[in-house]
Amino acid sequence: MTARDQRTLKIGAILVAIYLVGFYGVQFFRQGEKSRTEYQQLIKKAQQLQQDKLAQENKVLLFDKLSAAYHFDPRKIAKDTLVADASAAIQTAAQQSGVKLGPLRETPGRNNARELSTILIEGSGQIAAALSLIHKIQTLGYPLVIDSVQITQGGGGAGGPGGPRGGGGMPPGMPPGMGGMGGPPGQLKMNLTVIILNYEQWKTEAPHA
Amino acid sequence: MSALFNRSNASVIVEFTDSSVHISHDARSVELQFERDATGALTPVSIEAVIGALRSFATHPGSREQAFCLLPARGVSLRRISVPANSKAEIERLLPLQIDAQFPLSSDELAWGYARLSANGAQLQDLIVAAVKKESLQPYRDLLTNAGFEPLFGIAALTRPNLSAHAPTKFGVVEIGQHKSELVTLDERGPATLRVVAFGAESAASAEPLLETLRNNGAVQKIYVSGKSAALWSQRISPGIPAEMLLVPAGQSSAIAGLRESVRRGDELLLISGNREAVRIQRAPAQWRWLAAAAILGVIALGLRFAEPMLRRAQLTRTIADISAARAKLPKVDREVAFLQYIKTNQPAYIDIIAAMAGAAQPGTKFEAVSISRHGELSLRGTAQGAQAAGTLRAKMFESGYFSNVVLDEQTPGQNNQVTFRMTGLLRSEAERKLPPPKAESNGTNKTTAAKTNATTNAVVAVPAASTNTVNAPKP
Repeated sequence: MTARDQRTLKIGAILVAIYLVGFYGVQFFRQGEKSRTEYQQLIKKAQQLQQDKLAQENKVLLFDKLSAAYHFDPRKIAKDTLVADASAAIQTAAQQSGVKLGPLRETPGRNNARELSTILIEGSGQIAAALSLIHKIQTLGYPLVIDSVQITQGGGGAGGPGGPRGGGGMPPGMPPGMGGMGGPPGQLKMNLTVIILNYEQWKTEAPHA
Repeated sequence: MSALFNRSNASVIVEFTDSSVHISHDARSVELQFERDATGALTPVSIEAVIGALRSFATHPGSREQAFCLLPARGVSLRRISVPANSKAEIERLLPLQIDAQFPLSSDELAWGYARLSANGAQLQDLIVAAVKKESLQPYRDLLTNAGFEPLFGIAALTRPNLSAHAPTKFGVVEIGQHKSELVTLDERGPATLRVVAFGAESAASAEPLLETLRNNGAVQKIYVSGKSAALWSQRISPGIPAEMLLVPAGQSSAIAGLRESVRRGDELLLISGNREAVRIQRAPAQWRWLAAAAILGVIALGLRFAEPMLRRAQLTRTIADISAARAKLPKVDREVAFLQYIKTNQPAYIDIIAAMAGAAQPGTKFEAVSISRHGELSLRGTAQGAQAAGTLRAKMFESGYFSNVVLDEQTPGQNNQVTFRMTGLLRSEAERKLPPPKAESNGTNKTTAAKTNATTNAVVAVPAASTNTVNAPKP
């Protein structure tokens, strides 16, 4: 083999090597880039999943906290007897608090406001009893929202005529500074409007509270 | 690194001793015995034999490639010379003058070479200079030239210390020959002395001549022994000085192995030359090596770019599966949470609001009716003692943070300095209540509010029938 032949072979080998490196190199590079892009997407997916999981954990914790605060789990509400049960529970709570109940009216709630029923409660009692009832209604274990509270000078018992009587000392349990309503000492008349929420409607609609 | 990119092209190494020649090229080695005549020159038969052997080692016949030729120590002078120069050009300008002064022959009559010694902290550059008569070099030059090589002359004794690993600061290396031995001593800065000792493997049975020479040349801590019967001689020397046999690869001479080690490390070689021009070692073209290194680094960089996806993909997939499984185990409570939050945010804290009103009331104040709605509306009616009592009540209600836009709808003076009043207002949401009010502004606004309240009350007293004023609560 002459030197010229050797040179030709060398050049040929170099050209073939360059072609092979170029051809397979580009393929390798493309494959690598594709793999790298997929890997980056996987990383993003993992991060997103991690964030979603943390958010879900936070929601579970919040749910536990609120369930404990309101003493009820929305998933265990019996819809058919909800109004009756809630009404009975409110009356029991009123008796326990020392509020003398007067007329109690139940009206159907507004569907568009996702209300099941509205209960109007009239009663009379001392301020401590009224406050105790308000507190108990919020933690009775039913989806109740107190729509309004109206407290006026006490009349002659539940459902009796209320009216200014003047005077009035500090009733027992009255917050300091609350000089007391008019009328006999400590006697108040209270009107509560309580809404029973319809959880069934929440289940079918997107939450937007 | 330096050795990698500046590797010498000369791969054939020839070492001449008094009675033999070693030729080595990579793993291939040959040792030829030759004869000298009465003048010390090689006989014609030996010359032919050596040339023939050398030609068989030529990798590119006719191209006159360089070959290292290591000379015996006989006739070689070694000196340490200091010159006030640092650059190579200055050294090569000044060194001949020093050689003229310190050697018995002038620099023109000598073939010489030098190597830098390690710095001693002074301004002068210390050099180790080896020199030999020009005419003593000529037979070797002719021999190698006839074989098709361009010789690069070195001193065999100076390459052997490169094999002594973990050597103490002062040590010696002795090559045991047939009749004579070569001894080189070194200190912490490099070669110090070079001697030919008149004893050899066949001529003596005692190491006393060597020890005597060492005593005359200063103490050494250890001596390395190579050459013929090196193990035997190291045992003989040991009682006088700690001795150790130099480890030489099988089939090679210690000088050739030492030179290879020096080339591998990229050390500065001490080569001697008969003319003033510095010896130029042909080196492989470095640009190709740099290109290769760059290509390798590029491949590594590219590999690192793609290595992570390849190596960690499986682990990441497992992590995603784990997270998904953990998430699937969590209960779905989105609607329940929204429902409970709706309950929480859609009813005022009635008890807190009533307590805040009670806190704002002055002694003698009576609330006859209080009405609070879920939508944040408040209305109250009552009586208070004093003309300014209603205004003070309103100011304190603002301060409590629970109320805003409290309007004194009506204030009517009555008997015994009593005032009947009626107010409406709005409840602040929980989020608004929690914002801390700015202190400086708060004080100022309260004062303003109090002043306005007084004015309003006065106005109400003056015109009791129709008085409706709105005082905005201080915004936090």
